[in-house]
Amino acid sequence: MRFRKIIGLFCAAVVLLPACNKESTTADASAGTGKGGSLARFAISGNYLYLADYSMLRVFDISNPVNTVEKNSVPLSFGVETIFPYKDKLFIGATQGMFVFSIADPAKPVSLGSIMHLRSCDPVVANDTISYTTLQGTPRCGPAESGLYIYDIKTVTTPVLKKLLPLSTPYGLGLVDSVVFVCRGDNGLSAINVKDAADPKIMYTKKDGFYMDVIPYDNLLVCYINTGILVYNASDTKNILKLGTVNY
Amino acid sequence: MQKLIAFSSLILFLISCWDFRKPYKPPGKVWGYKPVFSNDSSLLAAKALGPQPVTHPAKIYVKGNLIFQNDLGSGIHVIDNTNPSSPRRIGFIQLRGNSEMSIKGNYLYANSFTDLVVIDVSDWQSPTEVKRMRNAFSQGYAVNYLPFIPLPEHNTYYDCGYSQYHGKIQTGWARDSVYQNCYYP
Repeated sequence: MRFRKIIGLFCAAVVLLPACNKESTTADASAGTGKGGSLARFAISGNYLYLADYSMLRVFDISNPVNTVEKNSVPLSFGVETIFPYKDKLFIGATQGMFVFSIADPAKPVSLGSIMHLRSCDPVVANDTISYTTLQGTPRCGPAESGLYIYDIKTVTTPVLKKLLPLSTPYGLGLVDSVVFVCRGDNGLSAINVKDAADPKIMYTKKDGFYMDVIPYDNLLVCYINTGILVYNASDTKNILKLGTVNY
Repeated sequence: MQKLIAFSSLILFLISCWDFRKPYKPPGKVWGYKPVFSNDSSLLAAKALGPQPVTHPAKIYVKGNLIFQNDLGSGIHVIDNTNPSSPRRIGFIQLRGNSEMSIKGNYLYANSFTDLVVIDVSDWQSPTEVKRMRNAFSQGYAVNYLPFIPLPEHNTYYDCGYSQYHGKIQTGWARDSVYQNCYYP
């Protein structure tokens, strides 16, 4: 019993400590890089800024910001829409597929692999072994089946579709540990357990607005909804709690 | 009888070639608004305003205790999220033709139409544009179609796609006859 209490206190401390940290960093918010949503076309990794232009990946050296210089531009297939940096890789979502680039040499992105799909709109997030893409088939986007596409990227040169979870109207998405949060317009924000990537399960769907995109950070989910910005406490992904909103 | 059928068939066959659709007419001109331009390129530079109404909400970005959101074509809203239970709007960085952003350290990287702009934001109250790279981001064209300056009235046509035209910058609207290319509801 006593042992449990100690564990409980320890857990509380682990949960609370980052919160304390967050307060103390208010004054020094200058260091480091921020975090964009899954629909972003700009991404910063280290001293480089990458722009997902329509058919070009553009690379800028920002080590001296006032002297930002374009270092490189790498041709891509047409219809590039989103860019997601993860460690030494860039995941690029285009209307025709997902492209993976190595930025081990940050000034010279090298194409590692790609997987094509039917034409659609498609933001990407990823971790070491799996990447998640939502595809939305609409008259504007294209004919693909709408849903969460889970790709095995252990062999990054040849991503393999592990599972397609059909979902209506998916937009942006965010990854917290083994839970993918998918914004689905007025169909809500779905929390999907992907612990077993081959068997994703919708845990619950929040309906506090028309969800467009989400950024998980610092135990929070920052959501862009049609009426404003909505913030959830996501320290327990099984049960996220609505904290506050700021309306348009 | 057979002659009559053959003759009727011939007539029907010939009629089938006739185009019954209305002849094509180019879209006519209507009363609406056309943009008024200035050559003063300093109007493009980023500048701080107080909290502004949101018109075309778009992408979000977070850094530290701040949340940012693009207003397509006009700039970036700044929201203080120090207390996530009651986030509040604290400002707006006006940046014409903006649709994308990213931040590292004290510098904000954003597009202004097709330009890539570097803005020193060490003081959020007075952001300073320190670098502008012409035509570094062709996707910025997409925001040209949004009216940066609100139209004087609703339910009207306006000449769109020219909010930045040959280096000139839009400063207002003038009533004129325009093609029915964009409608302001």
